[in-house]
Amino acid sequence: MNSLTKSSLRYLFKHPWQFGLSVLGIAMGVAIVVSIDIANFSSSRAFNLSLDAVAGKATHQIIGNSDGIPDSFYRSLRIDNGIKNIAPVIESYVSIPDSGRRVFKLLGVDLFAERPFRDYLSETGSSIDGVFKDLFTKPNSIILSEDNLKKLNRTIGDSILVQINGKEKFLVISGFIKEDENNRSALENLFITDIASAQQLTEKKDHIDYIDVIIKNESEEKMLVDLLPDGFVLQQSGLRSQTAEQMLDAFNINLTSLSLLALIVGLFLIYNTMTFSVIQRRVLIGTLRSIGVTSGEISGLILKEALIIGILGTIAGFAAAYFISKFLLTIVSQTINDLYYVVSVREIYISPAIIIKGIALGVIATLLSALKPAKEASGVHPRSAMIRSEQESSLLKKIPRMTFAGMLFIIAGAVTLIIPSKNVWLSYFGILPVIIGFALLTPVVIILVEKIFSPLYKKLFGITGKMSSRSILQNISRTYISIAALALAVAATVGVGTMVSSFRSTVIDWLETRLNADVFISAPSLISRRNDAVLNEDILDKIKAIDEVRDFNFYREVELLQEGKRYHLLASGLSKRSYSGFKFKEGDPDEAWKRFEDGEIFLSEPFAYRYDLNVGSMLTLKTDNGMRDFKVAGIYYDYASDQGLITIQYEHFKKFWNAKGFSGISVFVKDENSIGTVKDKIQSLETGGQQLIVRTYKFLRDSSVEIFDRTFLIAKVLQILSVIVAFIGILSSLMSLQLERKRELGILRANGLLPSQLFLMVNLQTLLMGFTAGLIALPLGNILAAILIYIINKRSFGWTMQFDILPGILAEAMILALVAAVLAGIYPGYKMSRTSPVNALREE
Amino acid sequence: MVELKKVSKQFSEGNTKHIVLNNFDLKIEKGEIIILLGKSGSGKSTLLNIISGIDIPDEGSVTIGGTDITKLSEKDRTLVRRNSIGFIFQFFNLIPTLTVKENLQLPLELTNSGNQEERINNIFSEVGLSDRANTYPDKLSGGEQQRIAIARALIHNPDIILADEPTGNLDYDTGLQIVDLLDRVVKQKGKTMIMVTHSKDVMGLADKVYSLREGRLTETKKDSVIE
Amino acid sequence: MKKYLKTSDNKKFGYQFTIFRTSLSSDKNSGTSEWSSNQIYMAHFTVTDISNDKFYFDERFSRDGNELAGAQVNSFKVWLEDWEIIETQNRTAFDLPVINVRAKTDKAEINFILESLKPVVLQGEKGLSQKGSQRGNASYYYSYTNLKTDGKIIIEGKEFKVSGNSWMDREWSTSALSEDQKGWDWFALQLDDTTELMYYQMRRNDGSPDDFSKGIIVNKDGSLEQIKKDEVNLIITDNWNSPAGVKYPAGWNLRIPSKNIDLKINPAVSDQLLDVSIKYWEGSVNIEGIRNGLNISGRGYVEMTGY
Repeated sequence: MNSLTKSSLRYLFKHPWQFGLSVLGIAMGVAIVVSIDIANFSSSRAFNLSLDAVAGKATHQIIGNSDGIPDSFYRSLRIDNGIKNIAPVIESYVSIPDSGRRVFKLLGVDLFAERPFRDYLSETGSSIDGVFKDLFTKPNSIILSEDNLKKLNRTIGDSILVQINGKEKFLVISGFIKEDENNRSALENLFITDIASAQQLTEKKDHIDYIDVIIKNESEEKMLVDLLPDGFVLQQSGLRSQTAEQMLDAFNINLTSLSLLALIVGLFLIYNTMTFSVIQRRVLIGTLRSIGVTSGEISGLILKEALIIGILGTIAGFAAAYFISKFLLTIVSQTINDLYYVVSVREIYISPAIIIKGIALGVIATLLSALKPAKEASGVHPRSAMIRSEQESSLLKKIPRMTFAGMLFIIAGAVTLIIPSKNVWLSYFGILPVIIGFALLTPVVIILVEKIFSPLYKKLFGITGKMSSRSILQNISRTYISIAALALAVAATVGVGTMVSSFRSTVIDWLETRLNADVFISAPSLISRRNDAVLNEDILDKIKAIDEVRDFNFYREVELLQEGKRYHLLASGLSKRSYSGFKFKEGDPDEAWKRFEDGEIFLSEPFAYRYDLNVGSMLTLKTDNGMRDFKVAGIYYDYASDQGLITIQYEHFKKFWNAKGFSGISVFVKDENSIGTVKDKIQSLETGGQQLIVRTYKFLRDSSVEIFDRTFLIAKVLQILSVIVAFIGILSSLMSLQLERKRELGILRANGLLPSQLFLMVNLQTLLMGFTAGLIALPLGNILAAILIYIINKRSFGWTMQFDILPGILAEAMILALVAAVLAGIYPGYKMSRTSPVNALREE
Repeated sequence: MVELKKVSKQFSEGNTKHIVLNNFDLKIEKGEIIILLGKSGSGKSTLLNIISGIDIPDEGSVTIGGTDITKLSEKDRTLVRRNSIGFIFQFFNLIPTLTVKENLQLPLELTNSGNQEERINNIFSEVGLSDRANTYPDKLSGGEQQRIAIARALIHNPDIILADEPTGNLDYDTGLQIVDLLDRVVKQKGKTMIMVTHSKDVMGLADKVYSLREGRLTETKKDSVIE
Repeated sequence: MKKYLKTSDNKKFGYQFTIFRTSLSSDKNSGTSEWSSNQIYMAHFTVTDISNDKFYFDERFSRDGNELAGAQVNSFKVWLEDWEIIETQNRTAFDLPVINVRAKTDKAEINFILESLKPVVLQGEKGLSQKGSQRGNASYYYSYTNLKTDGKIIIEGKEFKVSGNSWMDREWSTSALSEDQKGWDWFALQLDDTTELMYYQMRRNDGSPDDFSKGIIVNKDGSLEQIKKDEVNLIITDNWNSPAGVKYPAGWNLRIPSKNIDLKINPAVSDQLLDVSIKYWEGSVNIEGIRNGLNISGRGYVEMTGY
């Protein structure tokens, strides 16, 4: 190691606070970004693995109608058309009540057709040999992995009580498969059963879910397509996971962007630290320049230091990410289960892309943020070696230019943001200049605050007070970065907090209008926001027969897989009473309802946005009789699904689709006092084993809000984490700032200032810095909130939300800024007050 | 060795222009020791900066060892400085994060010199303090720091030594010790040195004494300085 | 069914098509799904392209659920997916059957009409054929030993019109072998004097023939002559090593002195090994020999298990 590098390393170690906190800041930033990535990746990978496990070697799937594919169609493919590489599949989910509601995928297959498809069934054939007979001959027999057998604490021959489509059933374990490297992920959440058992368990009479196909060439594909009746499609295997991933796109982007916010704060920190270290070393750098070190070598030195911080921070960040991601994963997968699909994630997966991204952010971004300080260092004139201290005047002169540049940045951001586009990344790209703009406006705000507070501080705290306010201005090249970093973090809190609260109140308003019935009935569902389980139709008749029931709604939700998209179609049998629950964004309500009754469809706002549809547009849907065009009669506000919904009247639905059963029923009672009675009566209906979830309006509203809150829990967590990063930032810069003022403070001590007065002075100063940060954060935070609400959310999900400026959040934010600043000032203040004046005056 | 021709330099402060150096020539032969006198702000340091390539003149040429450094890029000027010039500062300016020995090593590393250990030992034998080799500069007294700084300026055997008030921050006795040292390691070894100073004690070293006044350089009799 | 066929231009083929049905439990599957079943069907189908020295084979499995495979008695039909044996004419108990046989793989396909030329042969004691000393080691077993066969064979996309003779066995059993038995060698031979000879030799673990080995001769007029093990002298004259290194007999001298029969039997193609879930050799054979002092030739099928 050469002496130059040695000298710079020793500098880092001589300033452990600065150094350590910078590493910590980068580590936190990297940890948050990486752990969000890991959580996203692990959950989607777990889901894909479970799909792959189920798809096996199938290249395609034949997807049938809303009620599946008749057994006879499969038979005719095999026998009449002699097609061999096909296998029938029934897929469902079961949850195990006595095992913490763990969810397994129940895969019903015909073992005789399996050989070409699923390795783990055919190749391990010998290890399941003895029990194969039971699987085949005894209804509800399953095989599972040896690992799961142990975890469920069962042995062969035992039974397991499961809930499937809202009914409790017993499964019998007829055998297990030993796991190996190849089948482990496939078997992780899998129960395999015979197709006959699956059909019986899922009550899919004479129907299977889909047919797996291996197609070798186009002519085979064409031949097969020609055999498909209307409404059936042959789609590539991968499409299923693709559409599932698309569902999560917006969700993932939003999480990622929140995590990037933390990193931006972390980068501010690096910029801050490196700038500080350059300013502190002006004389040293000047000396080096005088004795012949080139400016290139100087900037190289600073970048090398940044590189060390970046590398150490990245390593620490990855280590922390490992732990944070485990925690985030439970939140993320909970949200996915609430909103999108059933997934059980138990393992953490890391992809090379995540590692590369983490390193790129940690190391390269650190280097980038050190570029400007490095350039500044290389510009240090050798003459500085002959001068004792550099003046702050340089930045003060630049303030008008900075302010102007800040304005330009904000305008540039605003222009980027109003470019009409559905690209969410573009919107995030637009936020960045706004943030930089506000950072550049920070010095001018500091001047204004100082102008106002200097006299006030003088009045209140005397000359000490004045000095503490004045020194913010004197050290503006350092203070402004700390203030900007804190402001950004607090603004992020305000932005996310305001967005979530606005969203929440929008959703509550909507829930209150929409849920205008009294009692709601559904089957237990594994996805909270959607009813994937189905009630038998005769339940409606039984409910109708209850005396106290005045009126009712019912609906059936089906998923339409067409052209690689996944549509959710809601067939509603609506009582006129419920019409008022729909608020239309487009379309005259009276006219819209009339047309709806004639068979036209409604779209929810996110759906219309996503597919660019308006009232009067035609939408082609895959019905059970082939593709049909439907006219859009109205677009209504809806916050139930970010994927969007299509609504059709039930009567018309039945003309085109065969799907039976109801996803949900809601009931109006004659007399409000009888709600409890009706609920009890419904609950005690004879349903043939069908479990009913019967909820009152209030309960459903509250539990919906609860799901909403759970969904945004991760935003809260990320918010807290970025505030921690910002706190580290401000602590780090205050430490450096005060350490640098050692001499100045030493002089004050020498002139008779008490340690307590010094402590007060330092803290008065940080308090004012916190206040300044808060002052900047409040407008910036609300601007961020507005961007999140009007642009990001709109572009991600298509939702219209009301935007409320919330005094509570603003007050909280100001308190946060002040508390963070004061907390960050305590230690430096204490440390400074303890400095002996002799020490402070000693030459370095 | 060093030749300045028709060198002019002016600074602007606000609207007023301040002429620091005004069209003058200076020629320094190898082995000459030149002392520059002048009031504070008279441009002595500017002249040193121009000779060292830290600043370039508005007009004129500066030739060091046959090269006109005003024609060179900033980087090449730095490299000329690195190889041919040793700097001695009023405030010593040792690198606080390097030990005494490492401070001496730095110029050797920058110039890729061989025999580093031997050279360091040799210079220690000249300036003393070899027992402090592994201490950090902040543990040394001012005089000791300046001795190390002088050692640092000489260790890579530059052609020219530039010294900016080397005794200006030292007490009288210590100052004398430094003068004595400079006499031994610079003058008696036949090195070229340009020194800015107010100290009359240093005059004895000088071959020529110049004073800088209103941008002009006039040679002064050594004896007449003792006012 | 083991058959020998030839085309009009003298290309020679053999085929074998067997459907096995197994019940996995004695109780009926109590499931209500259309797929519920306790019956498994397995089918083997081979074509021997004698002229080109090639052997094609395939195996299929299915359940009888969802009518993917099955058997029906009235208007006899057995099928496993699109492989099937169907009686094409309604008939009275005295009529001889006319049967359509169809099967195909990626490379070979057959579609034949079979008309029996001789009445049914009940093997063993009125159809109960004892294969070992234990109870249950027996099968109900009947055969049509000579069925006139016409139809087509498609091999690698090439279609051949063929005609010839087939042999059909039908057997019901609980288990095939007793503990001390290792396998069997089964001969179904059609001699060109319109006589058919069937002989099976149950092999003990030590390789010696079991006492339950036996056979039958079907004369031209359909009359039968039982053959006991003691009357038969079967000598292996050649061997063939499978790719996996298992040694199979590949040539026999079958002598039945009491019937004045002395036959040399050789595989038409040496590799007629079915590399399926249970490996066995079953293939077309050529026969040359002497019966009652006269030269005689013929074609047949030999099945060898337990090697």
